[in-house]
Amino acid sequence: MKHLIDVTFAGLTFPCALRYPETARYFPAPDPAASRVEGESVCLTEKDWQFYLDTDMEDCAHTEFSLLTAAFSDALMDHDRMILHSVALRWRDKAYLIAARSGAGKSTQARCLQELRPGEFGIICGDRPILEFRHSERSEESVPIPVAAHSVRHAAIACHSERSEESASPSCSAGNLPARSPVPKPSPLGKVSPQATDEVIVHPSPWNGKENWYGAEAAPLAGLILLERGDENRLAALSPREAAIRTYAQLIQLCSDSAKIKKAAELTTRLLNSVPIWQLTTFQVPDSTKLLLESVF
Amino acid sequence: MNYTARPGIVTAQLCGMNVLIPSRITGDACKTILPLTLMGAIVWTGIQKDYPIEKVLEAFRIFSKKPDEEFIEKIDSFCEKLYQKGFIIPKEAPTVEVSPS
Repeated sequence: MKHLIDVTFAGLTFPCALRYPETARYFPAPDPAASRVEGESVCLTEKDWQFYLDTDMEDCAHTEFSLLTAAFSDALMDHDRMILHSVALRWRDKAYLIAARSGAGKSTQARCLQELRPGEFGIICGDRPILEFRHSERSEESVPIPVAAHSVRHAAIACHSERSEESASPSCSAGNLPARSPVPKPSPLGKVSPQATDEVIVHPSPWNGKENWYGAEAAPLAGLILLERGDENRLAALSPREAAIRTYAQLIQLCSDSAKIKKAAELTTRLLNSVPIWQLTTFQVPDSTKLLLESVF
Repeated sequence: MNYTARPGIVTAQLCGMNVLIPSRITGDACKTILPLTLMGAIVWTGIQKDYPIEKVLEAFRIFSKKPDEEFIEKIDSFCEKLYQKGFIIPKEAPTVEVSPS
């Protein structure tokens, strides 16, 4: 017999049917001000359970809580919302996402940002924030767009060549960045015609990762950083097409329904068309974090 | 064409690209997301709809004046790539009924 609860995400309250009553403790109390979504309860079907238990996951409340991310993300997609595997930061009333596969160093970058600029960064969600898409008309004014990839890579090379002229800081190992920022911040490229686009709001969720980071309020998204490990520290602007597959791969979903898969692709497209995107290749912290700070924040 | 699409592959639009996305049904057999070029999309459609090779070649000729041999080479190469990545499987050989002697 299923245990029924109400769960609120990003302004919507869903009925949810739990296999384990203890799973309810992972979710906060529902928000009475939120709009209620009528219809079938969100739950994991027996087929879902069998699929995941076949991958050696333990049959328990915590597993149910983890797996419900995908079930809720699928349910949220019908309401122009989705869950993206990322750390959601809040900086000057805007949200920034650092997205990557598990183990790439998202939490490390978030921690370094907070250490290098104490008090500037909050964390909206440590692992799986909810993105809400709101259609908006952009006004006829400059829209900040990241600098071209080649100029960012060139600046990264300049960082390497100038490194020998700087005295090494005790806290850094493989070299410092020069005092003058070689990488220009994203700048307006002139007027653009009005176009319907999305404002993406980043909301907290109960899935905050092993560090259990949360606390900052929801904020409009201002940038997406795709993180990967590499053999140098490098930051480059990406086009939506260049970022598409890697971003889609971090979208949480059950992947069991073709209509939902197509919707997920549509939402990913809208996400990537709405904000600047950067690829941060990290070889070593805090150098890669400093590159991110000087270029993006 | 000698292949058939693996069940559970979804064709979707992602940032203006046609892409093949495996659903959960494909399991470990196919795990990558594959963007399709225009020619790739023609071949994939041909496999999905079980078109004969001549119909696929006809579509290729609309977009390019290259000789058929070049197209056939491209089709073979693309099919091999799709097969290696698990998006397609060889068609089952038709069973031959043997009447009792």
